[in-house]
Amino acid sequence: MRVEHGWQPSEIERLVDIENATASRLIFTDETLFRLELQRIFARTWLYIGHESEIPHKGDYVTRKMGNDPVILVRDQAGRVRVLLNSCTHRATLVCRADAGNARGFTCPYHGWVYGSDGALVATAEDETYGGKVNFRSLDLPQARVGSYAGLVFATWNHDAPPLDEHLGDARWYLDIMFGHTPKGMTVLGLPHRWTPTNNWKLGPMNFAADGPHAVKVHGPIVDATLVGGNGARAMIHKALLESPSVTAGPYNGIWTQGPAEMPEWMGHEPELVELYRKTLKPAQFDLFRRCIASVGTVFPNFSWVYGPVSFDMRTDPLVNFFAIRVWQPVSAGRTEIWNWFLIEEEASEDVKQRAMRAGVRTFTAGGTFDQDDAEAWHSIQRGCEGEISCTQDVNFQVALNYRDRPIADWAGPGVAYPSNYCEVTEFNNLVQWRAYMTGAG
Amino acid sequence: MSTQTAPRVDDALYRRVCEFYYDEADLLATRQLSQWFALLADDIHYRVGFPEFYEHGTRRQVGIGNPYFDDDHTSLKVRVQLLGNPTLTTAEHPANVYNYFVSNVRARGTDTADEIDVDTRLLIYRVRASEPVPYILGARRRDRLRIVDDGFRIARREASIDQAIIQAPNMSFLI
Repeated sequence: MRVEHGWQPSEIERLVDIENATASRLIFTDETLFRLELQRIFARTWLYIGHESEIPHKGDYVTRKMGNDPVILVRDQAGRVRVLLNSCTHRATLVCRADAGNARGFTCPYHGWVYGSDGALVATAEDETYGGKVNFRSLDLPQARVGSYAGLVFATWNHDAPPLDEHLGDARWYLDIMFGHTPKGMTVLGLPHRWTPTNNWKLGPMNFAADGPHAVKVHGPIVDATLVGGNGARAMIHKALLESPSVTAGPYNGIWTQGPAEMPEWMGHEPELVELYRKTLKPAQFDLFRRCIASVGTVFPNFSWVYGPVSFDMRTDPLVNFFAIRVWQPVSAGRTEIWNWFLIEEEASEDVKQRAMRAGVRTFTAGGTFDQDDAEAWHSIQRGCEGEISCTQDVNFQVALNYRDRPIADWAGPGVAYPSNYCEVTEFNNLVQWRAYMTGAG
Repeated sequence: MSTQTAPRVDDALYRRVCEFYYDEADLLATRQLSQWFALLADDIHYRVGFPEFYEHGTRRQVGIGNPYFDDDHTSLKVRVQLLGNPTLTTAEHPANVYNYFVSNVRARGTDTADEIDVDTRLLIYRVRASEPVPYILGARRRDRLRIVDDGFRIARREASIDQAIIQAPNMSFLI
């Protein structure tokens, strides 16, 4: 199906075939659909902006994107977290061109308009030249609605959207395990890594929702090289992926890969931190975390995380866990920016913080031993979708046909869980959620 | 003694340093990575950072800092094992074509008799099988070299790439 001028809801509905667990490749390549995504998804729902630990003090700010809009995440002089459109209300200039900083406000580089850290217009080029004809309050920077959960700051331009807590719903139970498992919560380790895969933005959220079957093919060699050496590691991971739960809960889809029962629990965790988890998490959350060797998840539309224990030589390099958050920023149908942060418990020692940072940057970033290979696979998917014939074909998630009707009966958490990371149900579910937003039902 | 103001090395040593960097560039470009690995000291610390942009007077540290690479001998051995074997990565299979250009070589003495500090600039040019448009990345490197009988060992590399947002899907190569 090819439509040259716009997309009707009924046509978009057919792009994701729920019954058949397939989707049209046009969802990755069509520029008109991409523009609709910006309107119907990125301008409408809650988007991840940053972590509260990035702006601990009054006046602290970082620059971010919501869809293709530049925004500033700032803690204003009263201590309130705000998300401001980074565009002067006079002639649209960026009022902040830095990555981060601390300031009482923002001065436009073109005519010198000044805004407070709360976004209020403080001064124009020459206030008196307006002769009182203009209400300066109408020229404050536009602000998005802001919500925060477990230190994660989200924002939306949609003033009719449900509150963040309601929007996240059952996803919060899983966000707690990753980002709210100690009393002080997580802290970011630095500025985000940013790189630009040459593929549609949805491939990342889908992969993290999560694609169990790619892990052994793409990441088998690094697993063999780092875990215990030889093919034992890959076989262990393969079995764990086949037998571990995939979960869908509200806007969240992801996997919780469980190590074998004979594996020690809390691998890579400091005992004193585990005591904090025990006090902070519910028993069922604590149990899911206990032997988790990989948690990979996506909160629709473009917020994902990855967690796991890492060692580059089990004999000499003790296991340590890393936590990464990433946002898949839509640039065009065939281009994405990844923004990637590493985090660790605020209560962790300086040594653990350093080791967790190294574990993260050695695995999940542009030069990481996992990401470098995913990027090439995704690039190749995009090339395989672009042609006149190939774009008439589907992408296939039909392992879901075997798993979707048999969820785990006694799952201890909210939402629905399926008994394998290979199930493709939750990865495909990410596209089902896409369809709902794109047809106006989201 | 500040390495910025320390005296430059003599001509004979400078010549050996330049030859070392040209040879190293070829090893990295032609993926002879186990031979490159042999040039590293056991206690190597290898870090590759990235540019950060701040308005004047507003710089602040966010977290402890996270460079793109922060490796030691153990982790570099794993990277070399993977990147140097075409069947062990998706990113380098088929093997990409690389050219490494080294310039602006400045070598100075240090407080340690058998160690020198060397600044270099690097331009990496890459072509991948699946992408005809080449990728070009500039970088700056500050190394601590240890002088040994058969040449030099890299004891420390503090590098920084010249892209704040990497204009490529990955960095499946070494700086």
